[in-house]
Amino acid sequence: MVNTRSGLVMKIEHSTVYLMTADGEFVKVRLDKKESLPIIGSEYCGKVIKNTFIKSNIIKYASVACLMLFTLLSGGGAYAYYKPVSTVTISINPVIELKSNVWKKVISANPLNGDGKRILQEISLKNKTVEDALILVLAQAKKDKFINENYNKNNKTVEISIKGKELSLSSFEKKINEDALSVKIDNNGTIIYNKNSKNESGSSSDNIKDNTNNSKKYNTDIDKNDANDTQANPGNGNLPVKNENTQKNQDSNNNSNKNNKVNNKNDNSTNYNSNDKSNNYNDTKVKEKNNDDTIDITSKNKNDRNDEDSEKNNHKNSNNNGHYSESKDKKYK
Amino acid sequence: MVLSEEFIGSKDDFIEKNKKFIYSITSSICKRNLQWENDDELSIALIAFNNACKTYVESKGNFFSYAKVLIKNALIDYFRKASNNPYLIFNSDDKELEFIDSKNSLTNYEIQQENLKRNEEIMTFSNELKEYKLSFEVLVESSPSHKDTKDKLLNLAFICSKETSIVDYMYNNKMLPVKQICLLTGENRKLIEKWRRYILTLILIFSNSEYIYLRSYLNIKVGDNGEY
Repeated sequence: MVNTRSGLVMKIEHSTVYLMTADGEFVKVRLDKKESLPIIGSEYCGKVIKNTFIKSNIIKYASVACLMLFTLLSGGGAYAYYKPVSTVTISINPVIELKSNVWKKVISANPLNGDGKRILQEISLKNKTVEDALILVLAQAKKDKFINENYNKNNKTVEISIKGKELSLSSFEKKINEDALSVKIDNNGTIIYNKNSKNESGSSSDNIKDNTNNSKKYNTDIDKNDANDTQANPGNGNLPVKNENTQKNQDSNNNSNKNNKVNNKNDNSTNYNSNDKSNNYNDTKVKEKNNDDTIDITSKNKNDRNDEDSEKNNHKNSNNNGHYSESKDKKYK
Repeated sequence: MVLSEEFIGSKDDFIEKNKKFIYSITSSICKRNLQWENDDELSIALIAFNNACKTYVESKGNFFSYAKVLIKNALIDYFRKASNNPYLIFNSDDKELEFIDSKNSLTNYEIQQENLKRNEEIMTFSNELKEYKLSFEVLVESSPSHKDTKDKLLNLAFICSKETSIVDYMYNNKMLPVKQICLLTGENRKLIEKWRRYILTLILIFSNSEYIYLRSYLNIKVGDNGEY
């Protein structure tokens, strides 16, 4: 095609001139700014603007590029979405494995035993957040009587272990805080959350038992624990303690202390929630440390506290309220 | 140009003097050697030249360019009316060499005058196109660039512009009677629909006697494969 064409000027628009060539073609040519403006009807010679060609090409390329970008993005998005970054295994008795992506969405849920299968048949966990999924599983397990009153009594713990990328299950933790369940969350071997339905400081009481065999101390400990429990699980303040050791102790304690103590306890627990709360937090932290067997020596306070937990508790209690000190005194006697 | 002085002698003499000019234009359009004795085209051209002499006004620019326009148009009209019309083509290669002598005599003023005439024509033409919802932008998009296509469409439009029924339909309905054209020319419906804008434009140019300059600007020649 000839690059320059000459023809009759039919129309002038901005920098383009519309020509009708002698061979009956209508063309668009570029207006030469250096030359004077041609008059309509005169002959003009200019470079052809291959408008249609270029335009369609640009559109073509743009559309192809857009398509590629779209497929890449959607492919990448799908890949990112369906790439499991962490695995959460929840074992109540049914064991369910949830795989989640970067956005904490469950992308696949596999039962690891028959009961798990039963639960998964009834609920769909896909595309829900891990936290929601866990809550759903727990709710379903309760409905299916996997979790019943015996569950806590039989000293069973809901174990949740996270492998892969760390997940924060804060909303789930908040939710189970309101529940009467023992829950242990294990993140790549580190226990980040542990809650015993009956005994918040179960592990610390273990320590105590190891350290001292003073039954009176146990009593005080149980006092404290009970108080904590009432705070954490308001309905279940008097449920049996989970830990075997403490349980044993409790049996004996209950016999001896029930009559003179329980009333006090309940009253106190409501009165001194705030104080107990702080204790709880400390205790749980301590618990984690102990369970891990990675006792941080720098956190001397905590260790100290673990070692002399009972005494400390006593002190605290005495500091906190007169009732406690009274009951403690009684026990010491 | 002091044409009036030349007329003083006699119009016959003037025409006699310019017979060569008429011949060159006619033969360039018909693309063959003609004989004064046998060929209608020459007599048509002669009549047109005579007409030019009669109607020529100074303001219409150079006389010879005017005469050329009139001769061309007369020939095209003749082709249109003739029952056996030749195969026409757009000619793009020879740049009106036969006109060199008269072109040299064109002054700047005369060119301007000619352009003004064309300008008026183009204005009316573009206004008419607007009625058909066409514009030069659209025409640029939908005008053929392939030579064969162009010639085919030229002949098609030429035949159509002869048919008063088609032209009337066009003027009344502002669109092409595609079906009629199909029947008349035996062309593919698809082809006509594809180039309908271009065909319409060509028919407008050919059928309207106002557009003499536009028509003459189109370098229409008789094709080689014409069944003449």
